[in-house]
Amino acid sequence: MSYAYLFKYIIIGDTGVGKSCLLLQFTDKRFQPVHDLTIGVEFGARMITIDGKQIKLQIWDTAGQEAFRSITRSYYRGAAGALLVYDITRRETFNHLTTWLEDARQHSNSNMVIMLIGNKSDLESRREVKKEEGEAFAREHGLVFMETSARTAANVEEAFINTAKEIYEKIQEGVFDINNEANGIKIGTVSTPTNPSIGSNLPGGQSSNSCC
Amino acid sequence: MLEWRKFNFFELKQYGDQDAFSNILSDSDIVCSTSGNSQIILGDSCGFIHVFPKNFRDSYSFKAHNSITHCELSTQNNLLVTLGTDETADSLPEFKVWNLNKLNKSVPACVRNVKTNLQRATSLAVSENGLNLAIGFERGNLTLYKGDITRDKAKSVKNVTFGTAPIKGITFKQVGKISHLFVCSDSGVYLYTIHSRDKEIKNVLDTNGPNIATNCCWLQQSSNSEGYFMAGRDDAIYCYTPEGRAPCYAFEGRKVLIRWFRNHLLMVTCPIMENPLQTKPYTLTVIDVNNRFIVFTTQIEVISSVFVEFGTCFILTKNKLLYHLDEKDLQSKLQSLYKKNMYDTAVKIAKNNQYNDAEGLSDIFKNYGDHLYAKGNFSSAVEQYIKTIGYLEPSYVIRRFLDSRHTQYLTDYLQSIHKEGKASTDHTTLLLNCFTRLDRIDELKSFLENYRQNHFDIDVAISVCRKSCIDQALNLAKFNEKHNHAISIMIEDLKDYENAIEYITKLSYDDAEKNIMKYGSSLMDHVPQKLIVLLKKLCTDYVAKKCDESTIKEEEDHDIFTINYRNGGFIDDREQATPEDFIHLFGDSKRLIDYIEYLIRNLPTCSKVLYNSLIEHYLTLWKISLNPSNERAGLEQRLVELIKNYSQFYDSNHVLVLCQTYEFWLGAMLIYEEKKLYNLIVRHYLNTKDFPSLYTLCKRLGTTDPSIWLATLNGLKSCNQVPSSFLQETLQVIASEKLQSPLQVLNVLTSIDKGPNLSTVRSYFMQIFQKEDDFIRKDRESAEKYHSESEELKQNIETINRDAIEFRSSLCDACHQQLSFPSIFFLCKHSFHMDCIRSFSETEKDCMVCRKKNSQLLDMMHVQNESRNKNHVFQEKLENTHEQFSVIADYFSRGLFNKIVLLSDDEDENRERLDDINISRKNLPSRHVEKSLPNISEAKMRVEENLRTNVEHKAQLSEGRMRLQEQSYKLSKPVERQQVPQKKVSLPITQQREKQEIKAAYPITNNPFDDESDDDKNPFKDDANYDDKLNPFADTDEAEEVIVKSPPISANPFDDDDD
Repeated sequence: MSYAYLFKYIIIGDTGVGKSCLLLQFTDKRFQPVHDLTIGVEFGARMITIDGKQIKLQIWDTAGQEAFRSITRSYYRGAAGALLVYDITRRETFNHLTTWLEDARQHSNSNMVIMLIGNKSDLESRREVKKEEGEAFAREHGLVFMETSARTAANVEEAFINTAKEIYEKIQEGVFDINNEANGIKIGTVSTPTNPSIGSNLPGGQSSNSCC
Repeated sequence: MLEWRKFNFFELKQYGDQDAFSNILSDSDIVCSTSGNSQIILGDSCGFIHVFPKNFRDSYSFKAHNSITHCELSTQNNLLVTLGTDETADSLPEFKVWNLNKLNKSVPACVRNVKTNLQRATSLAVSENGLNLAIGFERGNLTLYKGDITRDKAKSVKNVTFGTAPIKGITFKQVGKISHLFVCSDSGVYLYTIHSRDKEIKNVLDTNGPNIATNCCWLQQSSNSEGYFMAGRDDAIYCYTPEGRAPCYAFEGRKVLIRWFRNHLLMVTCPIMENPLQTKPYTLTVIDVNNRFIVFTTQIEVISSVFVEFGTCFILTKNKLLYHLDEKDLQSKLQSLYKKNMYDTAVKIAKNNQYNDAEGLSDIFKNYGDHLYAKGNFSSAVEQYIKTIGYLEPSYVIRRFLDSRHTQYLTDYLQSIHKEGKASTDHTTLLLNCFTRLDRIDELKSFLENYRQNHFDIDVAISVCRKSCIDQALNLAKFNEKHNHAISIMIEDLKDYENAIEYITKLSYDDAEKNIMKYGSSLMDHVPQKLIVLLKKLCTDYVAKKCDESTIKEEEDHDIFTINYRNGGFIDDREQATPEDFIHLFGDSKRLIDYIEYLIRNLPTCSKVLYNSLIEHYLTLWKISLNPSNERAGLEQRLVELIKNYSQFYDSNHVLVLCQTYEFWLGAMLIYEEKKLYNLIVRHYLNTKDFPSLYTLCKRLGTTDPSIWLATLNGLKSCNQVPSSFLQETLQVIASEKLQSPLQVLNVLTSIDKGPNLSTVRSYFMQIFQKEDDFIRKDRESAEKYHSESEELKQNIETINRDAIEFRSSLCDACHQQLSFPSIFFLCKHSFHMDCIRSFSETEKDCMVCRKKNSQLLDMMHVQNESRNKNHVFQEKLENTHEQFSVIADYFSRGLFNKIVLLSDDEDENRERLDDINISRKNLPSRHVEKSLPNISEAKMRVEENLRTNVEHKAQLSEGRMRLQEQSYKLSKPVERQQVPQKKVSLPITQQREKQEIKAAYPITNNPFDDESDDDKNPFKDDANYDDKLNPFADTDEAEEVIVKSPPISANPFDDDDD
């Protein structure tokens, strides 16, 4: 499938906030009620259209458990966008956002677009985190905010597409160096038939000293 | 930390022939191994290569190197590459390429032998197509041999460096013309892409943290996904594609081996800290990456190799024990999942295994549903149950949710059943009941409106709705054109008769008729006027209202021809109700009369029933209006008019009964008259003693049917106080019309109580006697006349016989001219010219004048003669009539028992004939019989009167005749002989009879069969003349009996025939 750009996303957040479900809803348009733990990292892809351009989204769905943090951390690198997800029915997932954000900022490139997502908006009755709190957090940290529901598919499309739009705008503004694949952006096979050779200038040393 | 869920879907079993390996490998250790093309290849520490086929028995071994470190197979050409040391003292490293297809005494051909770098080789890879070969060394450098590996091409050798750590694994992946070379070491994972001869690109896919060792790698061979390159590190297994990174599966442990086996990731791990005491230090784990759980894990002794070959997986331990990984069958997998209540996983597995049997899946859903139900999670349970629709009996689920608390879930389930179109009427009923129970009217409405998608039985729906929300039911019925229901709702539930009838008028003819039939009576009770209007329409020119309006509007757009056509067709096809079907609806006679009158006026033909009921209801009204009034008179008039003028329309018998039950005698009389049942009229008048009417009636009808007088007379029998004048009149008519014999009239008159005095009947009897007298006189006169005629004839014959005959005529009787010769003179004193007679007739033997008469006579005689011979005709007549005597008398009168000789056409025919006639006259009583014919007919009448007394006679006669037949059959020659005297006897008998006949008043006494006094003349009685010896029957009593009985037979005139 030809595309103009390929954006790499990463979905992060505490375990059980619905990261995999968001991805499944976005890629397959279905909802799986039974919670399957993600062990390691999985990924999905979908084509979207922005500004008349085909954009392929390659989305990394990471395990939320603390134990896998070291594994998932290596995937931050080379992501253009990140969905930071919390569960509106579980306050502690909201409380952990700071840690996640720090982690993400530390291991990814600085231009990465981060979207804050309060998932499970369908469970209004069990809500613990107000929407305003989410909005406030996003404002404070310069994030885009959205409440979604993977069950009802509310705002799921928008969350991914808005992120893509923001990245696209940044590309237009020239913030991203699109020739550096470590930014999580790849120019498609259509526009550039030959792959730019960028293998050797990876920032290998940057990640090697981060182990905890 | 939550990790993989664990199941046991596999079993590890020792594989069959364990000795095979230990025998062949003896005491050497396994160093390297590879597999492919249905062979397992092991390299041992002694430098030998062992190749095992599928059965593990027909193996072969050969010495490849001094010592072997690595071996790989290029599957396309079945080329084996071995890496080891040569057999020189230096033990220089080298690689050899063996063609396993070319075996020479179990040693494959070594097609190439190349010395390599002096470094210690840590890994070896060969591409499938045998065009690339790579050897990795401990310092992170790699030697790439490009081109056909069987040929020496020094130029195509290239050295590439990937980091500094020893290269742990190399894999070739061919994508079209591009060869990808994955290289992994502790430093990271690299991709080396060979586009063409000169264009080669080196990419870093990943870099490792320093403490995380990469130990092994494997290229996933999978048909569906693109095939990841998997690198096993201590923390996880990382996957890569040529594009970059791919998923990773976190699994702790130092990976010894990774394999890909049937969508499962198989890995062997060993503890990072070695514990020599442990007998089974290794762990074998199989992960189902799609479903994210471990399907098998076990502790195992040190493994030297794992082969995914022959479609299964073999595990070879360092102790040369071969294990086989047995996958459990799906059912037992599912069972183990059920035990852990992991139904969703079960479903997933079932689906992944192409477990397409929907029934089996539904079984899982059912179990899942049961589980959820038990947990009290009803909504989820219902979700699962819904998936079983079509396979699981719905009653199973319905029963679980019948509790009123669960109505909501039940509703969901039932709705789904309807969506699937598997609902029965019971389900619909239940669902609709649920809706109403839950007060979900809106849902009910939408359900009903979408009935097409919901596939339910509308009848049931309506009946359910009727109980809860009638309006809905009514709408539903109307919408779906369930007119029966709609009307029954309107009438029975809503009591909205006006609308009901409105509704009916909009229906098609058939429906309208049907519904009127059904609900007519209740409509009649409430809205009679409208109903009657509708009924009238139905019976005459019913057109559904709705159709009218819509079609006209539509038709305006069409051209005129189609309109005409349609209208024409419509009128022709229009049906009309049979009006009598609606009669029972009417309770009120007046309305019914109005209705029927309308129909009679407007319909060309009405059935009899209609008229019958019209008359009946007129009669009811007539009966009710007891006091004589204008109304009653008018009704009477109308009735009379009806009965008189419409007699062909009604069923007269029916109406007659009606008239009788309603005592409308006027009508009854009219019908009697119509049906000519005059005696019934007479009887009625007599009963009511309405003599004047009776008289006028008799007068009126007597002319056409005089028997009415007779009936009157008979009726008078049982009636007293008869006015004498009337009786007189009656008798007069009877007398004049000769309706009954006076004797019977007398009988009747005497039977009347206080009968009429003589003066009344005198004139009648006088008249009768007079008539009788006249009759006798007339008979006498005619008798005289015949007598004289016959005398004359006799005289004539005498004359002809004895006297000379003068032929004096001088004129020809034909031309009335003077006779001239030649001429012919006939005895009848006619004479003709010869020429004249020839011109008139072909023969000259007949007198032309008399011929007609003669031929008539002859014909008559012929006929008689013929019929005389037809004995069976006579017998038949005798048997069929109940008056045998009159038949016999008739035969006598026609002289059929006499002998008549017909003359042949001789020259002297006339003479002879006359002779013969004369003779017959003399001998036989035929003339007399003929003359007394009127007497006989008189006698016949007498006979009729005395029929019973004669019965015995006839019986005798017929018996005698039968005997005769019997005997004529039995007796043959002896009897014939006796017939000569018999003939002589016959004459006196007939003569005697002649005399008796004249004397006797009744010819019956003249019956020859009674004449037994002539016994002495019977030849059979004459024993003296009878020769016993001649009679063959004489010896037996039986013969005697026959003879004794014969006298009447001999007297029988039939016997005369024999001559």
